[in-house]
Amino acid sequence: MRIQIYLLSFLFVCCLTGHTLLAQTSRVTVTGTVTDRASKETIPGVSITSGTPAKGVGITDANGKFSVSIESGATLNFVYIGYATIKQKVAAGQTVYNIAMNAATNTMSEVVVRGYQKRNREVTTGSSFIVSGKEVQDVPVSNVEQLLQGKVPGLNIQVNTGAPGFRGSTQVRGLSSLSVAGQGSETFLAPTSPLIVIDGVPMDPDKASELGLQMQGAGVSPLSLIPQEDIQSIEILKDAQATSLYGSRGAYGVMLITTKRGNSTIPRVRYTTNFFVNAPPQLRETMGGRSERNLKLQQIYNSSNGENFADIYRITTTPLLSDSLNAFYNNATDWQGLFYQTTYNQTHNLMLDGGDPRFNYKANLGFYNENGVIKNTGFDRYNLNMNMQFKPNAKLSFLGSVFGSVGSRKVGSGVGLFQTGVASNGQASSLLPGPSLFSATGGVISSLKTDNKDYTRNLRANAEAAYEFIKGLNLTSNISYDFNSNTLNKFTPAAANAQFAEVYSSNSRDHQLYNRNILAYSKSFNDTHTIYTSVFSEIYIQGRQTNVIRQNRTPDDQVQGPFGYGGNASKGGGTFGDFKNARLASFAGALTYDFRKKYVVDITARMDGSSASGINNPYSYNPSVGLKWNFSKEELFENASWLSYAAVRATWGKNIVPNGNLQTIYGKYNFSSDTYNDQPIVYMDLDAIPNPLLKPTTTTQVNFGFDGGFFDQKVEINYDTYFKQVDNLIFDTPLPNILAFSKFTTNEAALANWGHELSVSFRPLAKTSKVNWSLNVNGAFNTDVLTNLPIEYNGQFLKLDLKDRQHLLYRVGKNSLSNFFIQNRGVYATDAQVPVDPVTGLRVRNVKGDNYSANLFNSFYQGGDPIFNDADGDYLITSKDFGPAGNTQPIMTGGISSNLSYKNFGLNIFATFTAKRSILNNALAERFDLLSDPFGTRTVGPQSVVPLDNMDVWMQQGDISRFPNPYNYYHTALVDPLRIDQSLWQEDGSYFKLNQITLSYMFDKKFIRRTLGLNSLRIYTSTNNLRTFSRYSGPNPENVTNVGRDASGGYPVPRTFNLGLNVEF
Amino acid sequence: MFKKFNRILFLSLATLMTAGGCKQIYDVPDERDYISPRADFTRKDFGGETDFVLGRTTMTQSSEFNSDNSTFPLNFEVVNVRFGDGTPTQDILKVKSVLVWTAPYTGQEKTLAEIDAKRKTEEHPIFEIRPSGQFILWNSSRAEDLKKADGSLAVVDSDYLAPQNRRFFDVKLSNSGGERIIRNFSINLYRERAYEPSRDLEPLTGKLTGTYNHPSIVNRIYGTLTKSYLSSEAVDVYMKKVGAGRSLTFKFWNRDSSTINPDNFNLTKWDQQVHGFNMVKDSTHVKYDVAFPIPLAKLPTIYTGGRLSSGDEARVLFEFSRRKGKIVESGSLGYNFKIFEEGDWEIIFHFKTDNPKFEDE
Repeated sequence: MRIQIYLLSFLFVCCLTGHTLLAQTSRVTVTGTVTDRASKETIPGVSITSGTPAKGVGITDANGKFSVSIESGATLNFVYIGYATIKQKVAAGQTVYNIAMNAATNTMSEVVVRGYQKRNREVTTGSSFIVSGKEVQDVPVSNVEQLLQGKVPGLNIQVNTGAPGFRGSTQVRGLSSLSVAGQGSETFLAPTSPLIVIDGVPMDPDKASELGLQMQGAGVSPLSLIPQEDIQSIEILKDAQATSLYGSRGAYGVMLITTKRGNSTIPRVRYTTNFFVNAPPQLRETMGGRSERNLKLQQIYNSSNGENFADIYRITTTPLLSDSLNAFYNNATDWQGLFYQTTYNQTHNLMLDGGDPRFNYKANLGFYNENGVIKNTGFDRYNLNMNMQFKPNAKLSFLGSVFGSVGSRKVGSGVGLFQTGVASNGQASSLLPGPSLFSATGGVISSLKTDNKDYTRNLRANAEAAYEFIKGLNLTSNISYDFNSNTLNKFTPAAANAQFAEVYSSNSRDHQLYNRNILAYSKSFNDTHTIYTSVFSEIYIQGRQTNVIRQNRTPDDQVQGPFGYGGNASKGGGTFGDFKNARLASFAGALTYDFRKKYVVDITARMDGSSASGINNPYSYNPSVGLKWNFSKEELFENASWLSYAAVRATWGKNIVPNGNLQTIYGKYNFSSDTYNDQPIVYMDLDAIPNPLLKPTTTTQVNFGFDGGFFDQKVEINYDTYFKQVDNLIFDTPLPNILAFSKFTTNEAALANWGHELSVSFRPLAKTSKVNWSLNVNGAFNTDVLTNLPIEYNGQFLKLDLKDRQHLLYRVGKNSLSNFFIQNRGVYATDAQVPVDPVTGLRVRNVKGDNYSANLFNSFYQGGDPIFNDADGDYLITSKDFGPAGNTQPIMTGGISSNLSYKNFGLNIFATFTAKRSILNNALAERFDLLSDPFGTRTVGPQSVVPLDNMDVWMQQGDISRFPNPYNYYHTALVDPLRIDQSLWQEDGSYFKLNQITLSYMFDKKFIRRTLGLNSLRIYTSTNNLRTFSRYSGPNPENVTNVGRDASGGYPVPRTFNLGLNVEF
Repeated sequence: MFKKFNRILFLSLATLMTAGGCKQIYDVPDERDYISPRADFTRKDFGGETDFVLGRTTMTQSSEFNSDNSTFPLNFEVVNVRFGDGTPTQDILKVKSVLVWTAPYTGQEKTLAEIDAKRKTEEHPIFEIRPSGQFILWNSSRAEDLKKADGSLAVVDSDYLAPQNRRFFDVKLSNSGGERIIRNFSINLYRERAYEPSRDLEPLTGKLTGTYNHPSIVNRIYGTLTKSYLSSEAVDVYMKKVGAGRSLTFKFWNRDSSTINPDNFNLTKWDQQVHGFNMVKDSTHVKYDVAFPIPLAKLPTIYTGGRLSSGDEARVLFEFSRRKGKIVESGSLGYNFKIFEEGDWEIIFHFKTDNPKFEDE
């Protein structure tokens, strides 16, 4: 069936034939004003180009006015990012043109970036999607990425944490990794975020998480360090043709962020401020005080039916239950309320810019402050970003920029993504006294008083020079240096740490030196044949080292710093495993040919040499081919007025991701406190055997696309379908225990993703209408399948979760990550429904912990117990009955956005959806589990109880219900009806989320200028994360890990209400 | 011409884009069940005296099959049954009727009919493996079903358990992921011993050995002749099948084989001795209508010694009290047993060396 692809490619090549066209001459000066059709504002800085290839002929001034000299009969293109390019043919005799531009309507005329070069979308073949900077304004967020959610089909963003300064999970076109870290509810998939390129400088978005998400070290993602006000546009590259020029990390997609440039002949000062309120989501309903005690007592009386006298007697020895007159046990403490808060936050951003295309500058000064809805957490950011462009003549240009930012993150006693301490303390029994002067629990102090500050200081300098040797031949050279200093200082007071105050200090530095040189040449022959070619080289030098100390027993809580070395006080530390000293050298070339912009061929190739690949395979080759047919330019559609533009695309390409690090290739050496001949010994770490043959992960992608605009672009459709094969995925193979090493890392796993992406935009109203309304609906459908595992696994691997036994199943031919546990088929309504072993005459029994030798005679299932699927048919419920269920990855994601403006009012509504995804509601499991310990004997101490009135719970013989009887704690301990490793807790995590609603008002310009002396004034109010509609029974189906575990220890996503102001002086 | 070509091209592109799922185009493997090459049994030799005895429903533990996470349901099949010299045989796969449970045995059934209603007849090979990987020898198995390696019946001879007559077999397991054969299991089927304890029966031949079973408990039973308390060796227990009905009778014999009136065991809870019905008690015996096997299931009930017992064996306890001077002394006679074959059974407690004293002193 592969023949279909070849056939398609062949057909494409077939149509690259055509005709010729002539041109004419005579010079005129044309003047005019450019305005925004919707707001009627003039637009400064609009580029005016003419000819093929497009050549700049002028630019509008601060008042949107222009004056250009041009050949009569030529066509002027008015190009401005975020607006549809306007083509104006200069008619003989007419020299004044007033141009009204529409906000980006024609995706075909967008400027896209391929291999660091700006290109017109019409003549590029790859699949990419542009989000203008305007779309990420008006809603203050610490990480701008979350505003892209649902805006780009195929870009699956889940805002799965509300922790300020942290990122959610981001995937382009499905799964790219099989590495899962963590246990139980805190199981996480290794992040495979797209490569981010900020103003031409590639950088790693997952920097901060290389240590694993549970022990996240210091450092803030560079995406959290860009103020959203400074963003001009974001382009997401999806298929291999678009990404292959980015080589390493391009396999996960590429996100190109362009910051704003100076663009006003009269210097401007623009100020944006937001005041926003973050409200914690509704807290769990908890039974307080007497009702908690009564429920527990009731449980004890009923569970034992009065027969089990021992338990009733035990009430008298459990003061929590019996001593209701004791002030210590006579409380109704709202523990959750101690940890959660509503916060008031602000952002300020000041942007100064000025200049014209020959010389311009910009300085952006930003401050962002967000306090977490969990107390003692928060994120502050300070920015100063500057750039300057200098073009002494038409041939030479310089661009210099400096980004400086300080991010400061507070995570309390947790690690940001998880606030396990808060979650478990929030579940304490309400009967216990709350913290006061005389009593406090360690957990509360630990959560509220731990001083945990994580500072990231980032400084990035970037210089670019371009020179045009002859017409069409450009050399661009870019050099940048990015330096991060991340320090994390955590002080745990003595009372929170078993009377030993603790100092934990991590100091990490990383740097990247980057150089790129591009030689590009473009030439058009008679406007018929156009070629574009470029070659470039890239060099990266990267390094990182993290040093950690951990000391216990400071003299008192005032001594919060390290205090020298002492064997008794030092509790570990050293250099972390994220040490890096890497080199990457790449060479790439691109060639594009188009015939009258009708038939386009794109060929690129890139070679990467990486020190992170095995020494035997340091080089990898990334070729790509793309074909495009702008078929609306065919004669057939010449008179089809309903068709604005239409094109089909086909691409194929390959990307690599280096897999290894120094340890996987060369091994790791540890030092020991043991000695040999009185010398400390250094020995090899015997965990993993080094593998110098490690290959980089290779992604091969085929993409077919269709772009079309209809009815004067009232309807625009953008469709892509792709098949993405990910080979050479890292996979560990355990070695026999007769060998010194315990595991071997190989490259033999592989998976495939395929899917469809569709984006449809409507602009139903006439362009002259007073109301401007646009509606975009987009969605992506992605299926992934595991296609290969190392041969010794014979097609299946079970990633064991030793904590909760919610294993992950990797089975060839199945969706890559399925859950694996006991299948729940409902609840036995009566005792009689429990199946009987025909051989023994006994009902199905539970074998707790697979301990077959235990006495099983009281672990028979009965009415009110869950119907566990006895897969192997031995009438015993054991781990052999585990089976696969569900898909941890969403199948469908997308969003809907509506922008409406009338006169000076604007209303934007934005929603996202995710469908067909399994979530394990471990929080609910935990909630039920609270009922199985009425005496409060667990190590965490007595816990609260949660009312289950609204749950479909079995109460008596004959009840048909979804949940088993949770009250019979004695029986629960024997048959595990509420066990966490069952499909009962697996729910459909589909949701529809109303993300943002923004209402804005722009004051009348003349009025503002007259009364306040301002250039413009706009006020707006917005909300974020407003409401989620879902059948999911947990609080938020999005607030789950990227393998779909909903833990109560997660950081809730707050609801934000914002009031903002834009002022231009 | 050119136009037409383009139209065809356009249509074919459109068709290609919509036609066919990627799974077909790109040769993505289909999902199959997993069958592990490491799936195995922890025990392959069932040659022991207690492993499989004919006439007793015996099932191995499911924990003896390690699936290594192979996908259930798995189909198991006993194949290639053969003698040690490779001669094939099918005798242990002979299909016979057996009683299987359809509802749980609780120990609280009130009539024989209620118990019967919980069981039904099914056809099963006398030796089989069920989908959990558990081997079952049904109580329908009889020595006369088995032949020796030379083809002769094994009814009379005692040497059918000789090494050359040991049976070997393989187990085939399969699911949609493929099939595997686990080879070289071996089995010895011992002759029927219809009851337990069976000290009086020779395991190889099933014949009487001349030694007898003794009660499990003989406590404070005073001998009239020896003037001392009796040991359990002083009492022999005979278990005999006397008819084809469904009953169990207890008899107590003096030294001279004369019957002891059961009423002498004056503290005995007669209705709680066996899970039997329609008790008939007279001066010579106590008789119950019972269902077989005894006990019916491995479940702790009052008939197996209460909640804390293993439930493996039935237990009877005959108690009495008598005055001995100024004190009242209680004596008891207890017996733990199992009966596998249906019939009219008699259990006789024979006070062989001395007669018990029930009278007050």
